Amino acid sequence: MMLSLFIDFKSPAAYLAMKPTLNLIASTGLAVTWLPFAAKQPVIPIEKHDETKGETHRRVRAEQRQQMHVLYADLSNTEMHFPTQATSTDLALNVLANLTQDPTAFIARAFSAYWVQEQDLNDPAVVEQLVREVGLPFTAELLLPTAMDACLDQALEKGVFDVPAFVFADKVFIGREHMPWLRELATSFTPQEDAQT
Amino acid sequence: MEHYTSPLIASAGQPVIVYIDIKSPYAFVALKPTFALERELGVLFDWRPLTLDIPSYLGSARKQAGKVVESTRSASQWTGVKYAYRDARRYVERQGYILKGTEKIWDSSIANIGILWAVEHDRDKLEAYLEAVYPRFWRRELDIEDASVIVRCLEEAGISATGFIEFQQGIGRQVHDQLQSQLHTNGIYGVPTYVFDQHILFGREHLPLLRWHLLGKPGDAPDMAYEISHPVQGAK
Repeated sequence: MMLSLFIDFKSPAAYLAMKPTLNLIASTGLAVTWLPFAAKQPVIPIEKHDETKGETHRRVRAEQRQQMHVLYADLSNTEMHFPTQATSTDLALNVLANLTQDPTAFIARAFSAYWVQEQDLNDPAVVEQLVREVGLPFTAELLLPTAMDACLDQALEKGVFDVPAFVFADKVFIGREHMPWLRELATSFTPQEDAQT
Repeated sequence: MEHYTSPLIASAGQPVIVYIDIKSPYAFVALKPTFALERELGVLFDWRPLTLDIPSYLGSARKQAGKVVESTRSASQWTGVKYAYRDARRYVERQGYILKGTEKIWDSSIANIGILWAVEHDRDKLEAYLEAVYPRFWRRELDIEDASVIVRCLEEAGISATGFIEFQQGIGRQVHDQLQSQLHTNGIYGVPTYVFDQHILFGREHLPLLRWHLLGKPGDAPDMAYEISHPVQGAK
């Protein structure tokens, strides 16, 4: 049984899900396919004097969610700096879609580049450097959006609309808060059962 | 009702505040684990109603015979709403309950004022009141906009409802409305929300962190998690 895991480097939730996800993989031996999904990341709106109720709700929600991410990052000793502007990570996501080798090292490096070093993951030179740093061969084709459509189709077909999205045993779980259920599912599939699926 | 003029944000030493709304599927799923945590730690939380104004931020919709007949929701709002219901349903089913999608966005204020009443009159029976309301509402068997229905739920929980009808039109309504108007300014926007030691955390995934806080922060802090119960046979 394969876990499909949709991520975006600019998602704070996906970044904070890395440690528990890698723990899950290591402890269960689960096979994983990492897939890119460019998720919208709302920037905290500036408070206006004439806000509608809906605007106030969205602002308060965005503020509280950021504070929550910072709280859990602090508690887990995870360094994390929020960007002040909305940014794109499309080129790094293209690389993830195109890589034919194990992308785990690249993913970890790209998350760190974005959240710790505050690098631009839509800058070709930066992304090339990241690929080379983890010992993977770089070609310009890695930066092309060739495989992104197929990834997006997979996401939409499965009902993925945000990240991190864990798709396992025909179930979609969005967010690392589902880790107990995912672990239960992962441990319930023995290699023998897996061979029959 | 002086209790509710206290600050909305719990500071050190104050009981944990829990905000819920009868019409929220996520609050429904959070009930059992939250009451279980109260029992586990031998504490009483300060339960309060937050009547969500869903159309103001998530659009509105009305269904008839399973079909959407009115909607102001965008496609992405629908995707999020549908996932939220599916997600809540699979977890609540593990607790032995049934969750059917609602046909409209209900005005849950009377049932939520029932929370204020239960807390004021018989706090020990709050769980029984919520047990009388939530499961049946989510099986589409309860008209929570009818005050007489809420009276019956209170009585079924063993709470005297004498005076509730006047309460939900008078002081209960005033306190309820006053609470709603203060929520956004205090950083509260959804349910269930847990307020403790200056933290405002939305969602039952924070219960492990809340437990860790209340136990005096032993060892490493836990990550967020939906703690799972083993599947229960025979849904109610």
